[in-house]
Amino acid sequence: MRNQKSALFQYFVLFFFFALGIFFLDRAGLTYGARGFLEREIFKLRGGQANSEDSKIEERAAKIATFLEETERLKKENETLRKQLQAPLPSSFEFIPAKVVSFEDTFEKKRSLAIYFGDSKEVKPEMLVVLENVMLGKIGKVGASISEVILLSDAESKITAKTTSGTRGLIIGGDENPKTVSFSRILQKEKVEVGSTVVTSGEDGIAPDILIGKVTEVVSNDQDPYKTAKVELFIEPSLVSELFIVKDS
Amino acid sequence: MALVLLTILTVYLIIFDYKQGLAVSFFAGLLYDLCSINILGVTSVKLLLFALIINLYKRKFNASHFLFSLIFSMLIILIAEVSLKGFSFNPAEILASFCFVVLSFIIFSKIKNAHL
Repeated sequence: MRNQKSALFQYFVLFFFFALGIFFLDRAGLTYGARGFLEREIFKLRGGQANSEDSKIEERAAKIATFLEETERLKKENETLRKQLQAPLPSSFEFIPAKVVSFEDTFEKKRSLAIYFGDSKEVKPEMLVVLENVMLGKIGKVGASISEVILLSDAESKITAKTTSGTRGLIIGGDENPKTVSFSRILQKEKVEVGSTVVTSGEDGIAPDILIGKVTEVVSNDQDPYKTAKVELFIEPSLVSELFIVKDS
Repeated sequence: MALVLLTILTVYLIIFDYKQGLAVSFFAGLLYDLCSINILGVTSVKLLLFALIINLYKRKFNASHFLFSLIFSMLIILIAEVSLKGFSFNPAEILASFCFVVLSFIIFSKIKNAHL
């Protein structure tokens, strides 16, 4: 009995220090190559198609029986890229294209996307994520090839915003409906109308005038110093397959 | 995903011996970190501690008996859930863990019996 207990502790210590070793190696960025490879494999397992720079993917692409299917996919990608480049965004913006791997919406209203961005080493937490000139969220955790996008509808998401008429407030996620967010902290004297467009205010390190959504309902109580509005997001994140990470130079 | 991993791992740790249990906890943690874009090794460390606790306490009851295993698993999962995420009563999660405990117990028992 005692022998078994001491053997258990020996095995535990062995694996524990092994795990700690991997933890420190990863923190120091020394597992970048292996991690990138594994993340690419996970992306492929989930049915994605990685960048054409990858020779293995090129081989796979060559084996695709239906040339028409491939052409259709490329057409769609080109169309998305063309729309993105034509979007009225600051010229200082550079775009890193990414593909959506999965959409998460938990009971605690943690709403995020897992995205595959290939070999780019420029993706950092807090970077803006857009599709055309509509904001989807911000980058959360970053791996070697895969990262997390914290959506505007996430329970912990908070950004300052304004209507096109200049009324300022705070966009807060966590609504029951993942397609809507709350536009709160609007002073009672300010004017908000149903149908108004809500855009980023230019604070919180996010460029101004990036579209968020449209006001669908205004809730006001004269005794409260602030009023709240419901905003329907312009893009439903669960339906997005490609998006762009913004590198503001 | 965390709940499914925790549930299956708990039953695995109860049924199989500590060597296999620790190895599975280590690799399951690495895979989880890789899929959820965490720093590698964080979940492995947590799961190894979890495996150690289960292995220390599982000798105190008849691990091969379904009812004991079920109660022990649900209790461990509840404690782990509360300590990781804080208490949030979600009936769907509790039902899911219950189903996974039953399913994992049947599958792992059959695998173990086939090996014996």
